[in-house]
Amino acid sequence: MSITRFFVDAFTSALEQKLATEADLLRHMTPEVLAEHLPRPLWARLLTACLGASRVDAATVVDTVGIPNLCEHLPDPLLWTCLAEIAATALGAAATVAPSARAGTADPAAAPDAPAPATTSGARRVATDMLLPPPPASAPRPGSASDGAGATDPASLFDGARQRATTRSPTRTLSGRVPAAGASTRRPQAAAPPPPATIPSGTPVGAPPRATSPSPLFSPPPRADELDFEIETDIRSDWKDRDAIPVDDEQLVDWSSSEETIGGTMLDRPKR
Amino acid sequence: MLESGLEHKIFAPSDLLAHATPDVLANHLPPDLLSKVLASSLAAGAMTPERVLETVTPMEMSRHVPHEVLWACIAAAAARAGVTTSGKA
Repeated sequence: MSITRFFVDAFTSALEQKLATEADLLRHMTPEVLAEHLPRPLWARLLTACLGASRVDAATVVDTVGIPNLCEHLPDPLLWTCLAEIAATALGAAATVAPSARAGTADPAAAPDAPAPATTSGARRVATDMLLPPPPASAPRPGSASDGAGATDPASLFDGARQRATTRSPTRTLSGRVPAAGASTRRPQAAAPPPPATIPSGTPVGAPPRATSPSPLFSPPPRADELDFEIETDIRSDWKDRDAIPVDDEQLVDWSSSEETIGGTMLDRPKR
Repeated sequence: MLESGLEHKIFAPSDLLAHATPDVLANHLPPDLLSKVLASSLAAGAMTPERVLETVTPMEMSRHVPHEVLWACIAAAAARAGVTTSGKA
């Protein structure tokens, strides 16, 4: 394996395919790097060429020193960094075009008068966007205006959520929690007093406390004497005082005639 | 001497670099000076003897380039000026 030959082929191909320019190479292969790593005969050749050339630019340096010499004498990590940036530039140019094409004119970056982003920074932006975590849940998401809480005001968002809560279930609490299973079957008399209303965290400072406003959800439980309906589950002891209801024998069911029931003889067995 | 010769135009920067050739400079100048020479030339778009001497000052030149080379430059300039012909007996 020869990493130097790989670098030579890669950089030569990149220059031939116009994926990079000599200036792109010299952004990494700075004069300081060249002075530190290039042997002195190569420096002599470079100085001679530069003194004899009418114009000195990156192409002069790269052409004079040569890609093979650069790849042979410069550190591999530096060469790899340069090559990676060239690749990111080439791929980033395609990656930045594709989302704009998909988004259509809605994307402001796709506006014809918008300045074209630098390919290198665009590639980095695409890469970082893909690596970034999703936005926080508290941030308003585009398209959420249909739920009636399109405003970014946290208080209005909370109002919208509370309105939705009233339409969904009357058992929702202020905090949006649904009572545990079985809690809805509790008798109103046994219902615990509602917890002290808390001001939502999104309420701006200085705003009147919303908990003081009357809410159909959190009115205090009615007293027992104010109830205007019969509570079936309220078993009292007055049934004991009632007279026995007469029952005819025809109304009784002879369970012993059923084949699947246990006969009375089996029940009469003494327990062991 | 180098600075005075340049100031009084006894010799030109090109005369100095005719002796302090790129090969000499490349072999004796420290890396930081070499990088400065190349960087200034890239920034200006050309490398001329004047620009090289702006970076590699006569003081730096006398510090790093062999004195024989520098003296040969001075002697050649003196010969061109005709000050070395007084030795005839």
